Amino acid sequence: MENAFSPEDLARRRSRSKRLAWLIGGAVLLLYIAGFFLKR
Amino acid sequence: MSTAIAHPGNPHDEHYPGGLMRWLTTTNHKDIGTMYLTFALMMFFVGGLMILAVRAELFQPGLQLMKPEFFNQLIGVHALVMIFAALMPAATGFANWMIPLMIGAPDMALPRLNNWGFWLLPPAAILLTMPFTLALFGIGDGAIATGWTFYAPLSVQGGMGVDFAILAVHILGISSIMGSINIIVTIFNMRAPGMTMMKLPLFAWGWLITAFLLIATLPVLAGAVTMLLTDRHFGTHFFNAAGGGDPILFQHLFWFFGHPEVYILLLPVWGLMPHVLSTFSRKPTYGYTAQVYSFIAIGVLSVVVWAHHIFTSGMPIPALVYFMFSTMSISIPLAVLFFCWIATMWRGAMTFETPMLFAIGFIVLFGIAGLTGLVLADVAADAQYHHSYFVVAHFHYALFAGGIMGVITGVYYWLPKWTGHMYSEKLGKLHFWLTVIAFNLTFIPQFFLGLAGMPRRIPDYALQFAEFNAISTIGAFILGFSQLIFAYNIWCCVRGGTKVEARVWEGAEGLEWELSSPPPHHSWEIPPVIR
Repeated sequence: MENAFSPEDLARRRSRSKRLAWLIGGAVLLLYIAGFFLKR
Repeated sequence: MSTAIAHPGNPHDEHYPGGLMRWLTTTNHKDIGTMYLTFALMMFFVGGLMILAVRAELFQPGLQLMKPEFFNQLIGVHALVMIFAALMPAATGFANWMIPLMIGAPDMALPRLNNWGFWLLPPAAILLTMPFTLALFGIGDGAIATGWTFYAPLSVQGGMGVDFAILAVHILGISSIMGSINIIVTIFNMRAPGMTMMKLPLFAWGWLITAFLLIATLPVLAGAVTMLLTDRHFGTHFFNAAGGGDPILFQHLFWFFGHPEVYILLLPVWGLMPHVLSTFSRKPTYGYTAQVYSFIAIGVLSVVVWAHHIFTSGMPIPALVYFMFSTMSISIPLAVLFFCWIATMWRGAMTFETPMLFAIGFIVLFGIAGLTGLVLADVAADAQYHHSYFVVAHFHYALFAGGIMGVITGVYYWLPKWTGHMYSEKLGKLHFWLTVIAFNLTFIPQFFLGLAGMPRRIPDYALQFAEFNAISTIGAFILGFSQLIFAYNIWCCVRGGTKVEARVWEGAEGLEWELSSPPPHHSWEIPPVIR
């Protein structure tokens, strides 16, 4: 990859990372809230 | 494993604030790694002092130094501090420092999240320990006295120390989740071109599995302690049998987090070991693929075995049998790891610098943790050993010999890379021998105490246990004070010493050794070439 770590490439990688981070964060929140609906 | 052609690094003259503002506002992965590691070392001594007070009380039978309530508080906060404020931050410090260097990235993917994740830790540590101070001024009745497990109904009835601990655990959990998210996205998105997943250093693999375990289990712990909080203050009855709730439900929820937590503490160390063993054996790591799949297998198995911690709470026979065999099955991938570690050393040109000594000490002593873990996984045997000092000895072989000695291995291995100076080998070796001897002096007697029936978390005991307790206390004090050598060695190394080259160790392989020691402010501005 020739333009690796160029400002554009880094911006692309960071925006991909942010999307994935929000996705994981959402899953964490969902898991946390789901716990309150646990029934024996 | 990856190799790289030489890369000069980039001595970037970055303008960043100096003094305190540098540390408050930094988004640099190395600065944040340093803060995590410094914080972990400080909390290691705080947690250590607490348990030395406990061991002093246990030196003789009878109550000498403290009331039983205070004894229980010290034990609970010792565990919480060591797990959440010492071992986990130390591993996160390693990840921050080393993962970008090892995968050829310029920094972590989300640097500001990284800074935030660290600065949540000090307030949480203050919350955990503050009830001790408040009690001195007559406010409240001290810290949490339930042990680190928060078991209901004791925790529902406990004093305000429980509320402080619940809040602290929420904050520590948020910090860990932020760190985990950052590590996952960094490994997925910031690798240098050509660094495929199966070329990823094993340390990064160990941390990747750890991060997923944290993501999967921390919300469950957070949910459980939030439910505890609402039981305490808002009239709910999640864990109150009188109101239709179930205290055993809390135990299940806690250990759904609690057992993977053991692997959360150990997987980063297991990832680090192959690097150290390969370096000082001057041989490539044996069984890279087998180790990766073992990490994954252990990660998966760790979330389906939790109830072996509560065999005695009452479970149907099929559940007991399932949890016994599933727990025992973890020994298969773990045995693969042990085999690979030993095979890496086999017929290597070994030398015994301090990191290698600690790595070998780790393998031997952690092996004892594994073997005694198999004993505890046996339903019939566990009925006798449960809640005894046998359990205490077992998990200290896992978490001190496995966790803390692993962290110490990593510090000695990477400290010259971080500081650009070599530490004192003489002091390092003295530290190793004192640690190993004192550790065994402390915990071997506890196996015998447990087998003879001494219960844990009790400040007084029958006369028959006196000798082993005295030996254990002497060992604990030698172990505690020998860690001052470690702190002094680090201090001297940070301040100065013999300069080291980029490749600190003759047999070291990997991208991190291609950069200068210490590495430039921005780690890899030009991506390394992976072969």
